[in-house]
Amino acid sequence: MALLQISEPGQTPAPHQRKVAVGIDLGTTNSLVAGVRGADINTFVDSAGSHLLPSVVHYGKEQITVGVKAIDQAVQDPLNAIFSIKRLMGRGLDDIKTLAQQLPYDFAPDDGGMPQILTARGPVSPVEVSAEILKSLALRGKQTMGADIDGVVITVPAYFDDAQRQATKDAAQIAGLNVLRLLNEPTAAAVAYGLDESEEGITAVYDLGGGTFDISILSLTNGVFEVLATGGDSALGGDDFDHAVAQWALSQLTDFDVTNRSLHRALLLAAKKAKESLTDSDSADLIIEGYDGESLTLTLDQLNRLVKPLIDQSLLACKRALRDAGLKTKDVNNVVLVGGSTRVPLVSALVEKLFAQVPHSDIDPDKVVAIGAANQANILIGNGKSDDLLLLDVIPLSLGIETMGGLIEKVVNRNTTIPVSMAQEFTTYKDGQTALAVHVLQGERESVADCRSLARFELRGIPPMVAGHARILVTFQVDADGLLSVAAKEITSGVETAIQVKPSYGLSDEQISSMIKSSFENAANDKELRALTEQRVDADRLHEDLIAALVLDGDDLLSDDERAELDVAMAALKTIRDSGSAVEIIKGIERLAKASEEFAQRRMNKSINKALKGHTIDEIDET
Amino acid sequence: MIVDFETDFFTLFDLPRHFAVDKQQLKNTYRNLQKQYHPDRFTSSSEQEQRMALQYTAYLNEGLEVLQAPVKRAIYLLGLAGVDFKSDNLATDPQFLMQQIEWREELADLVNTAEPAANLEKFIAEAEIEHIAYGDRIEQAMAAKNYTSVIPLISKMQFISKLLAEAEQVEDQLLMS
Repeated sequence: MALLQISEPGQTPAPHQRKVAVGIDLGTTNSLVAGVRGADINTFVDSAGSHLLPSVVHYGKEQITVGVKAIDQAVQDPLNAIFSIKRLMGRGLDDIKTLAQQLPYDFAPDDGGMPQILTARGPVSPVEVSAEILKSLALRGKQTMGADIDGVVITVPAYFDDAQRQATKDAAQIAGLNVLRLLNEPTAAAVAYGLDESEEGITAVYDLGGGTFDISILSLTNGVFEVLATGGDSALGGDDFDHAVAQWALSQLTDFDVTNRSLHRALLLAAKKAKESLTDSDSADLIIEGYDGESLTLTLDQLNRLVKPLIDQSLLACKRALRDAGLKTKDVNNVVLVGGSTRVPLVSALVEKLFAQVPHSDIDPDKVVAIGAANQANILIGNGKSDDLLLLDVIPLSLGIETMGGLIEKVVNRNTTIPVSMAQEFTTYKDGQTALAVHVLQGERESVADCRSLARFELRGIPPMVAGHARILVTFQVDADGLLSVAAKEITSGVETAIQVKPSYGLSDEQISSMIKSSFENAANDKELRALTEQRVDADRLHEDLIAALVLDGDDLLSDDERAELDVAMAALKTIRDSGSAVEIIKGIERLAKASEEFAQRRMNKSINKALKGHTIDEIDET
Repeated sequence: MIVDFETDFFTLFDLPRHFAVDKQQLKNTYRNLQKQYHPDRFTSSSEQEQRMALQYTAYLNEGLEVLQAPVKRAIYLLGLAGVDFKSDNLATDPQFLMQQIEWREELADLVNTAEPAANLEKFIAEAEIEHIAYGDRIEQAMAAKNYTSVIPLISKMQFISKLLAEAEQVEDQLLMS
């Protein structure tokens, strides 16, 4: 099937009827929905005239409420009013633990070890909470457009990883929405700005939202909007500013009951209010509902001191993104500010200093992402023209698979334009090996432990061959939403296996969540069992490595006594491996490693001597 | 319009089959093809056409990745000439081996120098010059169809690419500290 036929662009049949699509900005703090009506693109208001829907869901005994009404319940009923759920999307229990101290909820693992929040209406997953917000927005869209919604574009932080994107798509599915595209927030903002001015050049979009930070560097050339590089921090936002202010307040207030969750929620709301007031004044009082102790005033200077380290972190990501794009700050023609948190005066001041130019914020930084998303939604549902601006986005974090020694071989590099399909060949490391475990990871660091584990699967039925002779082709496909699927195939025998890291449509919610669960390394219910398995693998690896080393250099480098000593130590580990606990095996591994240290040292010396006489690059690389 | 997935990437982007590529032309052709065949242009078309547009775009993006990265491009070009690339044994080049060890040591020690950022910048600049120099030599050897001499050159360039990637990680660490 080498050939394919495509009809000429522009000759595609004109749509018989206009379909209705909206753009949704599903934010950490606030969410919006926007659409195209005639020549006008704008965000939609609720019955009270408000564009923003606070991303808060209250699970009351009687009913579920979303938005302002949910906030109203928050101080009385802090455990059941869920804020900032976006921070928990696509996260495992371990991630939650670090966040949990900031979040006044009760968490519990579900059957598969995914985090759930305990509410008055039973346990709910972050995906379900997000689905409630989406439903509320879709209803507003339907009421404003006066028609059913045929499709939506939902924006996500550019720096969201595969699991976070997938969780967002699952939430839309649960809300009954047809997702046309997951669009990166800064790209959406760039589109909104690009609608007005078709000026060519380099644009930097600095997007600091409630809970996430993105920086994207785009180039507009000849009608194509291309993301050159993206970077960010999917856990840095205005929320963190609020927490910093709250922490400071606690250090000032001596009689504040920190264990009272209602009071804690009230303090966070007060911190947020004070921060917002400081956009156009020099000081603001912290007014904490339900607290009548000392009064406290936050000055702009104090706020600046509290948030500067957080902003500095975002500026580092900007420098990295520029480097990745191969550009200097002077190459940037336009800087655009997006996200409510860019209203903090120090943010715009420091961004201006970094890029040495005044950033644009002509379009309301709260609305700009939803407006760009609405424009793309309208195009993708089929109401576009053939000369519409074309968007080419990238994958934010590299994708790869685990190789021997807990290292990662990257298959798709970060900032590769999507959709893309990339393949890489791997081989077996043992004679007669008939199965290969494929561990898919996302991240930039060299070691597996520092990257996000996305999925594990096995390729079985490889015909037994000498080590290094099997040719296993692993193909990564990333679609236009930035979602990954992986396939592996042994070329000589044609044995194949594949995993949709993304679950396909038409699955039940149980299946969706069970697939999400299975895609998490950290989801295993029985942690001890996993640790045990891992330690056994490590023990086996050390054992095998030593045997291989002994075959090669044992006679050369060890005396008979030394050899006998090592044999005893190896036998000891073998026993512990089969009968000991994970901790005992770790200790056993350490003992054997120590016992074989001298031998390893001698081998190293031998290998260096040999290398200096000339050897291969690959072998040197491993020392 | 007929699109052929067997087309090699050079033909796809209308470039001569040389190691040296005109990057401006590559990007221009790439953008023009994307503008015509990106899936976003086929939203009202049949599902089959949409799927094909998606595959074609993925193919274009893969082609761009391969042609933009010198090492990938060289290996790909060798493949087109029917030569399988396997990272070479540099037994005949002890000098390069010494150089490797020196580079590695220099990079490892950089962090502890008085001005790590400036020294790192210098290190990267030097490695990049080396990288380009190997590119020139690959270009010459390819043009002369001297494939046996190309393989060790690619291996060395691969090493320098890896070294540059490591330098970038060090740069990230410096940025974050």
